Amino acid sequence: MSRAKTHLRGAVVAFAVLLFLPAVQADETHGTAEEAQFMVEQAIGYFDKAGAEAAFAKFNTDPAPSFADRDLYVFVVDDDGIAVAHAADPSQVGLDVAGLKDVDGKMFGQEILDMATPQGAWVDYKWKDPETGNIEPKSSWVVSHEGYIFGVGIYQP
Amino acid sequence: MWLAIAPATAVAQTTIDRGSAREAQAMVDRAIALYDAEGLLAFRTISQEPEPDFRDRDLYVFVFDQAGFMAAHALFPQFVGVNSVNSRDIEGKMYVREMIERASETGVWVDYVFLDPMLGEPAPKSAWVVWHEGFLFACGIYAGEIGI
Repeated sequence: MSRAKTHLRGAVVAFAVLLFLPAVQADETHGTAEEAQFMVEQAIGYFDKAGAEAAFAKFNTDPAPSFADRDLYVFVVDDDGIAVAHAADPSQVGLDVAGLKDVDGKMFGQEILDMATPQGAWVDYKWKDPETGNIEPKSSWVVSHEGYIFGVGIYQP
Repeated sequence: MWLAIAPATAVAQTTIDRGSAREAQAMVDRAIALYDAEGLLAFRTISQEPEPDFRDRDLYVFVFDQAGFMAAHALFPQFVGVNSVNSRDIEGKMYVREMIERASETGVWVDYVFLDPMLGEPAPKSAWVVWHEGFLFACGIYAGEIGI
């Protein structure tokens, strides 16, 4: 697919998202897809303004409420596939994401590394919901930006 | 209490039509109501489509978290993402720190000096700041029209 077509498709998807997602109400425990995308945008904005070191420190040590809100949280992976920030569980910093499998055996970490583009992409897998503690289907919006991948996922129990 | 601010407002209106303290507080209330309804997405509206609810004459809303991260800004959207915790005004006052230290759910006024969008130069400002669910919602007035 040409770059222009990819852009067009992205625009159509974005328009569809804008049309339909507001109907999905945020609730007490679950963020929406649109909120996840916006949180990624805000996280990249913070990275751009504050710098990598300050941004990752913020995501790892003091993320709420801007970068951790209900089941939404920011994670960041570097070019080598190593987690450098995790707003729900900073103990995951240093993890080699490329080797991660979900409960169904899906190599979703590698998929995140492969799929992330500057325009953003959704990657589906199963992961622990920080709100419930259960393994739930998750869709993460992942955006590559200046050598890092910024992600925020939503859960669909 | 109304009498206390009426003369200042009347004087200001002869030169520049400015927002009042009550209007600033109402603007903060609207921002909090939108946040309660829409969550983080409220910040996109405040930064990208602020008029008229979140930006009107010299009134504009800005929102930052308890660490100073600017989450929304109705006058300068380019400030979103800035860590403002060490911001000083031209007199050296660390006004963001003061807002974070003093903010309460009922709201406080914090005085400092900031760019007056009507004059295009720094002027005394009083911001009404309300702490709500980890964010500070603020809207300031200029020209010393303080007093509630």
